[in-house]
Amino acid sequence: MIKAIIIEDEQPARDLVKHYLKEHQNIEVVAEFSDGFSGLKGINEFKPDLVFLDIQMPKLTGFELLELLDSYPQIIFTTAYDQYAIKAFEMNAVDYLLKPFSQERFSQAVNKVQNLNNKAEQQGKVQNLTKHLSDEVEQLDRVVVKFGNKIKVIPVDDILYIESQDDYVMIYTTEGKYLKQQTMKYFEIHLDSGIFIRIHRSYIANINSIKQLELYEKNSYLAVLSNGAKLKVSDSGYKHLKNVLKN
Amino acid sequence: MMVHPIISNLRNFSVYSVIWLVIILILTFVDVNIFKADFLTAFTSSCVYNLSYEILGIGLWYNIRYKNFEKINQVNRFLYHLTEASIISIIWVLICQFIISTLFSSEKHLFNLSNGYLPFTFLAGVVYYIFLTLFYYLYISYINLQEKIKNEATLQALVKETELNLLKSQINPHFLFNSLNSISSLTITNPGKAREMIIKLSEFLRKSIGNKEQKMISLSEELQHLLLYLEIEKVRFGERLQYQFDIPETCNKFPIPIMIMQPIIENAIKHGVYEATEPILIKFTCTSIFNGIKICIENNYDPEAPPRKGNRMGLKNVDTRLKLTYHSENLLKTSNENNIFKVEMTFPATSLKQSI
Repeated sequence: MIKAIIIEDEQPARDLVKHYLKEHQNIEVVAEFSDGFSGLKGINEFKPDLVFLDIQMPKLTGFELLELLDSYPQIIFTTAYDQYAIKAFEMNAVDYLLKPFSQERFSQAVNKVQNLNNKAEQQGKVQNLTKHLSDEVEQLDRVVVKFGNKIKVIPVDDILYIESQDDYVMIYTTEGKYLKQQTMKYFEIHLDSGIFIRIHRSYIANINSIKQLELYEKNSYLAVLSNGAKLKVSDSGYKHLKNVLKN
Repeated sequence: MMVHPIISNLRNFSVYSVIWLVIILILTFVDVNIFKADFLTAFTSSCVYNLSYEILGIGLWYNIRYKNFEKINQVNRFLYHLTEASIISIIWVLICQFIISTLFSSEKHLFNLSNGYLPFTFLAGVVYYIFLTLFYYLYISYINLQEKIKNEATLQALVKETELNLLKSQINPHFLFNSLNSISSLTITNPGKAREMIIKLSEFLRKSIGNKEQKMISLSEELQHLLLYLEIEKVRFGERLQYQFDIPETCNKFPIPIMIMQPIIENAIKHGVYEATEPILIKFTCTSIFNGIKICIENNYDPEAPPRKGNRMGLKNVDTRLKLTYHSENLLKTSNENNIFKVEMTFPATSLKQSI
């Protein structure tokens, strides 16, 4: 028996998934949730094998929810938005169902889950798929982090700077600092490059939070931030900074 | 088609003739007082010279109007006119001389006298040529300028209309797909409701797609259209979406730009209902003000929901549309207080007729 949960904010859409599942007796819906937060809690509580996940939801989007999970079950996205398909497959989603979808299309997705013993093969396929699709960069407008037992959603404008810490990054805001498992490269690409500048191998700074540049040694600068932090600026970082400030 | 500036209407021709008459009198006066000619001979010769040039001058127009000067460069054009001025003046002087000498053949002294100012008459011919040519050029460029201004105005009106059409809200594809998904679900759980929703959706689409030409609509019709949209969305969102209309009877007939409120409702749903788990109430109120009406749309939102960097395109489009329609600023105001987002729109009653 495969344990599944549905995370979807619209009642009719949930009803439809449940109806389609009647053809798949080996899948049992153990719970349903109508927003991102409760969905996240639900996954941790029920440990399902399969999640039907909407993307556009209150509190947390489907993607933000996945970012907050250490390991996640099989995911089938259900959404009316076609522009997230690439990102969905990058997150190793089993399938991406565009609303409205048919019983046949739905069953096809569900059958993939059942055949998923062959996981390695599946991943190979996904990698092939994403390789052929162009990198359409979606800009972040908020970042979700785990903070103790709580979830914190940080609007990107509140970020002062980001510091690299091995496999993690530390995100500094006026309120505190938050650790997140993500790469610097990711943030460099997905944050507005007119505002967030890679000033050093270890730092991405919000240009609005930089108060001044201090001469540190010959040809070497320190960026002084609004919270008092002083960050090293590399040569190339200094060039980036100058370019952005010029425009 | 450019007509002759002088002979195309009587008034212009009269003015032209009067100018020549003045010239005739002045020259007669000069002849009599400076060259000591007797009045009759002076006046007659002046008439011969100037009346003949009056007719010649009318003809000069065709020379400028129908010559393809665009292909000739400035220097060549100048040389052309210089040559033409000289040749015309010489011929003119000779012919006039001949006429005068025939008229006054008996009075030899006069013939000699007029011989004395031959270069002067030639110069006068060149000056006449220059004046008339400049006048015609000026006239042509004036007409061209007028035409250009007219064309520009037409173009501007066209641009404005296109802009207005672009600003008209377009049907959001996600709204459509999500609604179709709801219908798909309702066909199983509640076929009657599915049918009802298909009818509402069709009605909404028909009005949205069909109204390409119509620019203004009565408030009550616009609200009916909005109600359809809200009812469709309510099937998706259930209790999370609430709405309330407070529209006095007197406002119902008032004309407003078609679908002007649609983007505002979409925003309220996107930033309010999408992000909240609690019910969101969208409230419409309308008040009559001096010379128009004021419509207020407000919605609460989840204060916990982090601000999404929503594009303000929708609101900006509404603002531009109001500006273009009513030629007036500050018709759209927004405020955000106590977790209530409020949009206020003023629709003036005046300039409605001249708006496109």
